[in-house]
Amino acid sequence: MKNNVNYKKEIVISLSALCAVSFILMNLQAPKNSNDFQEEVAKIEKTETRKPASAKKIKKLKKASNEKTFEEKVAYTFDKIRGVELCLEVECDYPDNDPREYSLSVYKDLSMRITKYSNFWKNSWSKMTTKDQEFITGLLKHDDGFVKKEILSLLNSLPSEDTGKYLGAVLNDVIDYHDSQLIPAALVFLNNTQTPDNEMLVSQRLSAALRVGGPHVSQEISKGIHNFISPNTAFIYEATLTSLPEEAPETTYLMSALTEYEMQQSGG
Amino acid sequence: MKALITCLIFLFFPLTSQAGKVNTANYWKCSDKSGGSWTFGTAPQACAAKTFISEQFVNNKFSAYIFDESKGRTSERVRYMTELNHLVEEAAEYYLKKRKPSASSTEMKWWKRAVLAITHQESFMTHYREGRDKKLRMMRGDFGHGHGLMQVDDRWHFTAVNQGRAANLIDNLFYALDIYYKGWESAPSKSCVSSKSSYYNRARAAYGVYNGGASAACRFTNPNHRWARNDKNFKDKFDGQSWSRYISSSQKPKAVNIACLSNSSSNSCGSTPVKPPVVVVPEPPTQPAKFGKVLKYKGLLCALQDRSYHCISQPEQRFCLVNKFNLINEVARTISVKPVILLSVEDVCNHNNELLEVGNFLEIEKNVNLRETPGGLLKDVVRTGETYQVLDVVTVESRNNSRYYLVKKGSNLGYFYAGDKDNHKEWATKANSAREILIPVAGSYVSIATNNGTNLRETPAGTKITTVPSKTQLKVLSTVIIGTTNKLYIEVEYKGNKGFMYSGQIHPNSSINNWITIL
Repeated sequence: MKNNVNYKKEIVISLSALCAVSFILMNLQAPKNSNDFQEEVAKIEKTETRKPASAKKIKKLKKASNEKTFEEKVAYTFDKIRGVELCLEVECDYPDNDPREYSLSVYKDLSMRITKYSNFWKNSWSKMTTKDQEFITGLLKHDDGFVKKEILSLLNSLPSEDTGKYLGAVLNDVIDYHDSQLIPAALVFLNNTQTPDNEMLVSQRLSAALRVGGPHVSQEISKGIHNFISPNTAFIYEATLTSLPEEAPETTYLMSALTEYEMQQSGG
Repeated sequence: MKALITCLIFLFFPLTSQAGKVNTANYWKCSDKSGGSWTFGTAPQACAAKTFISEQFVNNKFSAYIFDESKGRTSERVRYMTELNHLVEEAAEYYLKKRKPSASSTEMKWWKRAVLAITHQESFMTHYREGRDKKLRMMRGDFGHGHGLMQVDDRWHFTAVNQGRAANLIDNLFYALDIYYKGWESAPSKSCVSSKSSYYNRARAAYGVYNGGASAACRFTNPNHRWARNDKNFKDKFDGQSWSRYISSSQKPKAVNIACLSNSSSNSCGSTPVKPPVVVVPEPPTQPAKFGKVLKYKGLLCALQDRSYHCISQPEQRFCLVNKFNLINEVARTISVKPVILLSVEDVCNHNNELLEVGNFLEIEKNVNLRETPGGLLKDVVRTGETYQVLDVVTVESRNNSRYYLVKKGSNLGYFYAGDKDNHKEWATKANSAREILIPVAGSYVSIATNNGTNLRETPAGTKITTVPSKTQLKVLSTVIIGTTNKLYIEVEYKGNKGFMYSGQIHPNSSINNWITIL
């Protein structure tokens, strides 16, 4: 009976170790053919190991991880994201069963890591440095809707006094992008960020997107455009209306928003 | 032990992200599956279209682009291809003109050819088809993951596919063109494209981006690349243009209005663009019309009766206007005087078809999809027994008065199909109340919600009598709903004056709460 218990313990420990190693191996995306990349990621993988590890060692590593300072945790996640980004330039171990699967898989991994990165910042916005802001702005440039969605989610949780720094990035990399599913969140951001100083800029860019943006993007923008029509910007949208295709959905929505605005101005 | 269990769970059920790939099963949501042949218009496989889009909407708006498998294959293929080729060309032109108004005619020519080649490459130009069993299906390739003409993949574009974007022929095309256009515009900066006017290589580089992502623009220059065969296949199609062999020289394709087809709010699309409705300013006509035909004034269709023009703002209600005023069903001429009376859908269409009016209550009789627009994105499902207030009515006269009602379920505003004049009681019936009242009804009370008060007018949009201050409580005597955005006016009495007050739009964005609070 005693031997039996020990035997079970051994099985449990062995399986735990096997699981831990397998889990780490599964989550590491090893590059296939780049020495430069190997060097780049070597420092990222300092706290991870490809060698078989005991459960005790894993526990120790976990404990060490918990003892990291806020800055260390952010830096660690930052490096993890950089590591995944490099896989867009060199070939790593992501699935490659159809022409797009590889890059889409990298972006999927990237967006997951950005979610973790975003979680660090909740209630810690004051600790954000210029470097962090530039990093976030850079991530928004990625050609992937899921990555942009995660960044928008992060930006929409920022205190409103901090959002202005990202206005240009959202206009360039979301409003001018082709993914209409990002537009509702982008409009929330723009609405929160809009000030008397930048409302003309915002409306000019939204107007441009209505005219020459992708059809679905134009349509989504037009659905939320009523929040951007003001005495200072109405003329921009009135001019835009005349240049839109007459029966296009964006025309219907913009016309409706302008009519409602006029009713508000006249008192009904 | 807990750690072990957790670990095993992670091993066998890998972490999934809310973003990125969704592991849909092969032939996900595929009913009535049927095969096909690797020829234009009928590529395998196909699944019921109704899962993702309203069949009534497709039949009404895209009937010319449904391959009818009950007809002779050879002649039907020529008919279908003549229509679809024309539609794709027109849509490609519409798209490039919108994105790049400065595009030259040469660029346009190459762009259209490239778009046609992709539709060949992706699906053999296949989208909708109707089987001998009269069921409407949509093409599903790549083990059911690729949806329709441009093979929008349900694993990577799950939200768009699930909402019905890939099932709508124009949405499907535009969704894919967004990606191809990005490649088209970035191509001249690549080493394999010598200049903006190197259109041949530009089309191939853009295909690389479309097929393999931003880094694959110059993939076509590497014959040993793992996916080089895709580039070769595209080149063969681009060079051969074999689709053109199926286009009839004698059949004139149906005129298309891409802006209208892309608008899932509109139910039918004529060839002539119709201007948006205008705010009506009463002005009696001085000359009576000489013919009993439909008259046109900007976006309105009108009938002359008793020296007044009676007009509708929704062109799809033309048949109602014709019936109501016993007109000849032809548009006679454009009138230059302003119309007098703007009629609502209910005014013109509610004869012998028991159409519910805006503000009425209804009870759902069978579960049916709730869509953003009659043929638009899926929002929810309204279920048997649920009650709603009607917020808008869209009818299709040419289809036996089939109708869609706009209702609000939770936070979603959407339309659902509610049958035709013969079977509408199987879909929804009139009720006495609803769980949520969004439009005030006669006898109810409202409070003015605007900060500066609201004008009281003699008629809807008519002469101002006075301004009713904010927070004033009033009894609603009647409601009037006019225009395509369903402008709500309520009739009230304030300090001895009876009049009408604007109370917001009902759709596409409801603004009623900005104007009144229902007490």
